[in-house]
Amino acid sequence: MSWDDHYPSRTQRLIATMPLLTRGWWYVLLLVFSLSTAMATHSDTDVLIVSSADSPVYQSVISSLRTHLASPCTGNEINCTLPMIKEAKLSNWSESIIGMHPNGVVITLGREAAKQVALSEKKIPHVINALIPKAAVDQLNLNISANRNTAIYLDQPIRRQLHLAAIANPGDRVGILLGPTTQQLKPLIAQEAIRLGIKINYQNILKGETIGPLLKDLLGGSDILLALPDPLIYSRKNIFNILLSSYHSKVPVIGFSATYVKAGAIAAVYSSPDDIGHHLADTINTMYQEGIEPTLHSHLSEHPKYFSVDVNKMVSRSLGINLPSNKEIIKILSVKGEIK
Amino acid sequence: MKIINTSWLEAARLPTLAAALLFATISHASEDNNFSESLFFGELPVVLSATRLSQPLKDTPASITVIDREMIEASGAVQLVDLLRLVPGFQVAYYTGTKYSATYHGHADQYSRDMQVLINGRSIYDPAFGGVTWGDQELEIDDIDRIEVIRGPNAAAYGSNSFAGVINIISIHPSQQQGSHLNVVAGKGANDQVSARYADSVGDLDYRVSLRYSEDSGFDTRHDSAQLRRLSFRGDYQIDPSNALQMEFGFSNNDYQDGFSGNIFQPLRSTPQEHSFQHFRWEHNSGVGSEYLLQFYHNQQIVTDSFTNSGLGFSAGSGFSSDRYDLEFQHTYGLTEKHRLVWGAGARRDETSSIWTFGSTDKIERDQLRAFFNMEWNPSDQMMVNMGGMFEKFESKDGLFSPRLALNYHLDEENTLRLIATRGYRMPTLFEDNANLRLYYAGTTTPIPGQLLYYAAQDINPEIITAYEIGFLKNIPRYNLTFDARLYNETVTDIIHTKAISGVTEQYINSGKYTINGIDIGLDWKPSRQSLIHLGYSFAHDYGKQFKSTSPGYKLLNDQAPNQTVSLLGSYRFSSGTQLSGAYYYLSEIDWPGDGDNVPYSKRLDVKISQDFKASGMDGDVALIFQNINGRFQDFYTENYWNESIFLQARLNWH
Repeated sequence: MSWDDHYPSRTQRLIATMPLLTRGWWYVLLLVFSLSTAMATHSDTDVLIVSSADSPVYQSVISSLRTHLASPCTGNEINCTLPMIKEAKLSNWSESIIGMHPNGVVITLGREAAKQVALSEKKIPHVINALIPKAAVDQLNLNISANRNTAIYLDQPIRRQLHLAAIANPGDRVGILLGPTTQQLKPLIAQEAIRLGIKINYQNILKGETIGPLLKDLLGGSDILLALPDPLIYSRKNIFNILLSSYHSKVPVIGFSATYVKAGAIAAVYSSPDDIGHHLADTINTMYQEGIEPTLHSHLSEHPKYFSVDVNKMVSRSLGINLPSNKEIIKILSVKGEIK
Repeated sequence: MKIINTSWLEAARLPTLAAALLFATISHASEDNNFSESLFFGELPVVLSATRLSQPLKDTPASITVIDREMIEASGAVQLVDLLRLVPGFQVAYYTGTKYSATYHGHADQYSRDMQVLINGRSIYDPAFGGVTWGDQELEIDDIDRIEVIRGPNAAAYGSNSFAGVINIISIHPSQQQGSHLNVVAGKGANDQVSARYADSVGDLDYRVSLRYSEDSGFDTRHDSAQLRRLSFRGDYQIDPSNALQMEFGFSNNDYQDGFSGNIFQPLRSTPQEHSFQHFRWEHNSGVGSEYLLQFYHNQQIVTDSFTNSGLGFSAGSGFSSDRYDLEFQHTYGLTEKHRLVWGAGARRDETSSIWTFGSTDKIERDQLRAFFNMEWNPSDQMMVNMGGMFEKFESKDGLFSPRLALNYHLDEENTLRLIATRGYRMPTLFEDNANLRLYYAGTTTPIPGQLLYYAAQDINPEIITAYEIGFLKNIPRYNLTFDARLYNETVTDIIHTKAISGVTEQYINSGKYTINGIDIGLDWKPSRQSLIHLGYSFAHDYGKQFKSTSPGYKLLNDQAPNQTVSLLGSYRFSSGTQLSGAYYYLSEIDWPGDGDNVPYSKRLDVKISQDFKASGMDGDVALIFQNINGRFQDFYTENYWNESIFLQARLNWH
């Protein structure tokens, strides 16, 4: 998978690559399919999706969610019951929108949507906060424990990220810059590092500190740099220093997003909007199969099940590091990198 | 001898302070405390673009030596040019204690005309007399990221004058230097430097300002002290994720002393030099393996050098001014998984003027247009083929095509065999093409009849080099070991040189040829993160001849390349932060062309001991550098004697 696979979604891309005539038929088919889905819908088991903004990222999640929700019904559209999906955007947000869905599930996409819905005074039986980093869920103090909210985090489990570092690592010393957001992960990182048999070098960055000298120290004792999402460290301001200093020290960087790989990280494991949509569809399908009663449904918040891997071939070639193909890496991570 | 003049420093301080204040008043964008999905999906600039990435050595269509930051630190070099001693087969000559020349296997005088030298892609070659005025270049050693040296011609990628080799100096991105930096070097005698740097970022602009002042007493046996003042700026502005603009400016104003006691054509005198440049580089990265580069630069060199001999009643000089304007477009494109194409076009104008050397105050101009391409083709995992060439058209010259074909065959993961065939040209310098260096009546610009020293009477053609090389590269990443051997045959024809025509007059002509056969060996080994070993060895055998005068006729061109050149560098960093390093250089007897002399072999041993330290909000190191501790030797002129030098260096960084 390459980094530009995800915007727009695969379906849209597929349509876009079709000749115009065929494309017209495809839209007709899609319309028929959507209508049949709507007709099969049970009226009070609906899903409201609240996006933080109107951008292709959220649209991709929604379109992936729709595709994967419908997939168990393929070939059996008549007898299949699918929840009705409704979309709302923060740009035209009002409390009454929630009021119209007294029994349904509300999915929030992104930090702002999660925040807005959490502020709602209306009683919502179940909220799934998706496309949101774990630290943001903690920061917003979303009511996870009360069983009303669950979350599908955007960030990857530590084990999966460390495991990718181990795959790409020519040595066994992994360097990690910890900022205010990632500081709390230290015990977990230590525990996972023992399992994988790798050594971790940490460098703590405090707010207001220049990363230059600390990064230099860290690179001096590391074979690979693992970037964990922390807005204080991995900001636009620091990206040149981090990627250039690492490259010139011949230390590859493992990023946490497709854009980081494009910028110069050797590889990254991340969940694309498509992966998140897929995970959401699984969750919704399970809920609707088992019944939506919230008290019976204490889904734990979790890291994403589905993930993608990108490799920057130009960087790996320049550093002389041979990496397995994206598919092979995903396979290795899927076997050993179970969610934690 | 010292020249004390601090007015320039005072003058330079004002604009720097003004710049610092200007940047300080623009407030920094606040850090995003609201951690959201935008960190994962927000667009980022392509930092490691194709132009910033080095091609892996096993696939490069040339023999390349990389002098990285660790080697620079270990070398103890206090002059940039000394770093080139580490390159196998390279010679560095101090033709005065403060003016330098660097060449690859000899065949160059104080103006190393056969070497292309670039700083961040800007050619610093002087179009008037050729070579590089190393001391005038506005770049501090502490601001260098690495130096990549290509041994052998590479006109296909770097154009004419990429003849004997190409020196590619790449400076550090300012984002890696945030904070203030002070470097003070105090040497035995009068050899002192102080340089300061400030680097920061404002929004999407990363910038640095570097400033230096130095005094150097030169050789004890020469009238060659110097006082150097320079200022440079680099700004990297990320316009949006796909577009970046790099801006560089520099200015230096230097006083040199030169000459030999009792030499009427080289009297003891002062030769002030001024240099400045502006460089704009725009990079567009479309993100689909396609990159565009557009750059423009301008260099200006002004050398003030003339004298009057009242006793003999004449005035003469070699001062001049020169300008180079260059515009270049380049497109790098991955055609398929196995094909990558780099192509581009450029235009250049070189200008010079000097009453002393060109016989007129009129501007002499020469325009050049060029187009180039290189196709990298990877037919199988074992093979890499590079096919390229550059076509150049110089005003009033025939068009030239410099082709290159290189084949890299990977015997296995660690061993690569390299076969290269290439041809290149060296355009005559503006002086070689237009020389009119004569004596004038004292204090006037009226020529003395019959006193014409150098003259260009006919069209001078470029020198032609044809080179064949067999290279072997062994790279064992798990041991951090790289071994490279280059066995070469290079033939230069149509040599540009002077012949005596009558009385004192020498005229520029093309004649003769010389051949250099040799082998270079380079070994780099980093046994651990604390240690490094570098070895460079070169053996060269040269022979040839050129026409000098009707009698004795031909001059033999043997031994103008030193038989053997050796460099050895070793360093170890203790966990206490102490670093101990040593460098040894050997150069066998060499007959320097032009004004130079035949000087016996030389040995030089340098030792550096440094200690790192850290304090709250700052760090730094203190070093003792011993240069040439094994005693006296001669360099370039028999009058130039190297002695032991000791430097105390302190570098401080505030974050």
